[in-house]
Amino acid sequence: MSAAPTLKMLSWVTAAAIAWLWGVAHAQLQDGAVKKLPPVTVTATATRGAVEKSYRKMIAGMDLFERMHSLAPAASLRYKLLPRQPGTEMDRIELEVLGDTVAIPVRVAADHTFTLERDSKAAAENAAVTPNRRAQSMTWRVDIRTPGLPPNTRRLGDMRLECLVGNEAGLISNPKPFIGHLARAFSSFVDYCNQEEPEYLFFADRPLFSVVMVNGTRRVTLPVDRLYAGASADPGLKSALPYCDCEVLVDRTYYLPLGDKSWPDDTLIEFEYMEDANVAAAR
Amino acid sequence: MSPPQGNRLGQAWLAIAFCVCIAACATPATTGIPSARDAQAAMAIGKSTKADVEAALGKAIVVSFDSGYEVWIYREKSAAAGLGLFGQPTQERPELVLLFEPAGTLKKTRVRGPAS
Repeated sequence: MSAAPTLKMLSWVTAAAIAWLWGVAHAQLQDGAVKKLPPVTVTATATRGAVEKSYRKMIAGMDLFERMHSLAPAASLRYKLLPRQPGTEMDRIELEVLGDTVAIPVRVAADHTFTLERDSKAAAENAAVTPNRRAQSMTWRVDIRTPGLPPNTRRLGDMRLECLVGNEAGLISNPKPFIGHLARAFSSFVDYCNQEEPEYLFFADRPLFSVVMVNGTRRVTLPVDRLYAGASADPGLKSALPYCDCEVLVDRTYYLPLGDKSWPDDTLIEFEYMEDANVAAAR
Repeated sequence: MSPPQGNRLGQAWLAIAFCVCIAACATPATTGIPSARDAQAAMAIGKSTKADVEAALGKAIVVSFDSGYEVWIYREKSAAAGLGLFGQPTQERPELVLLFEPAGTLKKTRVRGPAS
């Protein structure tokens, strides 16, 4: 048998395997989207094709937060909604936990954060957490903030826990769609958040100019390649942005070396923004 | 007639080796600015324009945002740091990061050294 048919067959087998892996990963990502739709008699506010998440997974994220609370002992857990597409209306979001017979309204705060109450019936019905916004219009994150920190800072332990809870709750994203789907599909095997440089995208409150890690006298500025979803190191990022939930927030994104244990949980992350707060607020 | 399989495999290995070399050499460490600190000192916040900077330092890596802001990045030549097997720097190169406001003038600068 000559090499050409063998190589051709191998390439087909490889392509089929990749397609299968992508399908598995994609199906896992879309877990919330394929579950049974709620009856229309339950609520009139559910949006067809809404961006939604699994209630069970988000509760699992809350369980993990309780187990790992020592990473951020003074902080509480909230979930957060962020815009994903240009022009997404972020005010007056109506959020509900919807099951076959359950409909629980969820109050969304002015900063677009919310908490979920535990409801055994909603869990049993494999309910979805559903805002009145179309799919792909918003994205979701975990928001864990130790109170009383200096202005324009976050705490590394809080961020570590955000990644862990986000992973557990199915709120991970990656700017490189194919690699990201595979990474998420296998994330439980590789302890994603404890990797030295996990590509878990954090969003700052405003567009960033620099991010500095500070512990005592040790100060390290993140390389610019760890800001802006890695755009400076990836000329092809722009074409991949529609697949990334960072599409309209690229200027706010950064990665942290979460698994680098030489940085203790009390390490502060200092932000310098493109604009001062008063200028940004005037916009 | 198909060429012998050994030849094909040899060609494949050559192609792989070539691709590895291309990837490793894609961002040559021997190009860049001589000193990030000196370049920063020559900039004038609120005055320097993109054209001024490009004339002084050459082409930058540019990240553009929908807001109109642009981040420009220059890295030092890595002669002092030394080069690895494929020409990649053996340590991180100091980088000069410039922020241009939508009007096109320089708003902020910063230098990230190997130890900062």
